[in-house]
Amino acid sequence: MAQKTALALPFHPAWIILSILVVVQVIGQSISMSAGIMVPLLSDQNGQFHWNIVTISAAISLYYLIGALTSPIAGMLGDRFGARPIMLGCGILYLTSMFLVGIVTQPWQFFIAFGILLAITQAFTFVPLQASIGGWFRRRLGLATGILQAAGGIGAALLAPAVAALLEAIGWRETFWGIAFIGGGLIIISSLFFRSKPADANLRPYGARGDDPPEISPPQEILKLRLKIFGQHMRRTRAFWNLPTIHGLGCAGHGIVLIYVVEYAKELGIGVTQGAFILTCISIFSIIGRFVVPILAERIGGKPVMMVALFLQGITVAVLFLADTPWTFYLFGIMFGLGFGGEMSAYLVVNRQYFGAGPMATLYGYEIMGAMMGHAIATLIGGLVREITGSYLPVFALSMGFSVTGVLVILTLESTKRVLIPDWENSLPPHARAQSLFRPHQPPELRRDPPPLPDATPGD
Amino acid sequence: MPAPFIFLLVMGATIMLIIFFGAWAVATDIEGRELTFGLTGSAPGDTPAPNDNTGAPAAFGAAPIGETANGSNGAASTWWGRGFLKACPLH
Repeated sequence: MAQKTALALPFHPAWIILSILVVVQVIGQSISMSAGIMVPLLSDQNGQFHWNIVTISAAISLYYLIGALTSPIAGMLGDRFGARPIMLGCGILYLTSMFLVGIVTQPWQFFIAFGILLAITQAFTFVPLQASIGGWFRRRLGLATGILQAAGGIGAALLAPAVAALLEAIGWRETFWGIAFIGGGLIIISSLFFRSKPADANLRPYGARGDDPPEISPPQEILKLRLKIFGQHMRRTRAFWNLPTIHGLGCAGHGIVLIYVVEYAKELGIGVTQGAFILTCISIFSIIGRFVVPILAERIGGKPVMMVALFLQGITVAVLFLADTPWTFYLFGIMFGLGFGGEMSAYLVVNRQYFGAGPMATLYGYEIMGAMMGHAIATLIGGLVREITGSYLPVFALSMGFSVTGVLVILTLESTKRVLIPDWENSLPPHARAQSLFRPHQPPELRRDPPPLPDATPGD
Repeated sequence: MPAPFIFLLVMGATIMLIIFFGAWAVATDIEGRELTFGLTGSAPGDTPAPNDNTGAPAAFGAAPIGETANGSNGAASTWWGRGFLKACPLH
């Protein structure tokens, strides 16, 4: 495959972009993974905070709710303006909000710093940046997504015990200030080397062939129209509505477990450090699921692979009903991690299978919205059920219910063997179609803009 | 079947679940934790498992939902508590 590269590299620059995204992904994962570590510390009646479990559940629910509301906006902004400026903003926001988490003393301060600011940071770190990988990899998207998702798992596996150890060794404020400056600084530096799409560097995507749709960088006015028409076509498919629903149910299924398993283990007499190791087991074995599932989804189709992963996530929660020693919890962590990792990681590949090489950040934003809503609802209902029954077992039964329902919804999806909206560009005026906008390897300043759009756009 | 049918179905079921459990929590609060559906460790007088490090009661022993600063159970008198009870036909 002949690919023009600006630098004489022995590999395609898409791999550099992937490695930058890996760094940012690991840092971004530290936000959601730290929630599980925070619960025992925030609720410890002899500790610094001694807040009740309902207050903590409400703060975590707010975090997911704000993340859910922000994700589609993050996706839309990613499609409109590219991932690079968003990455820079994320670095600044990460630094600020982690710094503020370090100085909280009251629940309302935690609600603002964690529930609102870090939720916004997480949405912007996650949605447009992950979705941008689709633009860089025309082939082997499954492998690239697998590496990206697995890196997130590796980061989480290392960060959960590291954050727990730091909290114990140097205290709350110093831990979060350290994370703020290291994590925020790395994201800001990474944004200097990042490019939103290959056309920004006058390149073609990895694995691009002659018969592939051309890479285009249309002016904002035309880009806005293309996004609008693409969105209209997507919304007519079942996949558009059901993928966020499945992600929501899947995340509700594992969200409950991730939030409450350490507290449950603690209740059975297992220490905080051993409890944190359960999360580490889940994270380590989720790496296998995260890496393998997107590759399998690309090869044999996303629908069956997603179904198996979500079923595995749901069924393994049954082990918790029998768990009473650290080893049974670790065994649970291993099995659950495999399913949990696979459940969440195939969406970028499935999006490509359903919707081709169209702008994906907005759709991915809706999927992450579903995921965050799933976490918010699960945390809220989980907290309520725990409060009502005084036991975590009905909460875990609920988790199984969410996962199994997700499997049933996957059965209603269209086949992933064909693109659902192959002719969406036919609804565009001729001058806004990809073929008309294509200027091969021409710097943006040399491109001639097409004629202005008519006042009334198709589909209005 | 319209495209968003499953989405709406799941949304509806989730909202009903939140209303049911919310109303149950408020009803439990009114009854002073005399639960309709008792589970191990949840009956009145049951003590939650102690904290492994300190021997202090675990988080479950903290203030129940809706408890006010003076210790009175106020969930049913809040707007959301009344809303849950009004919306749920089972409580």
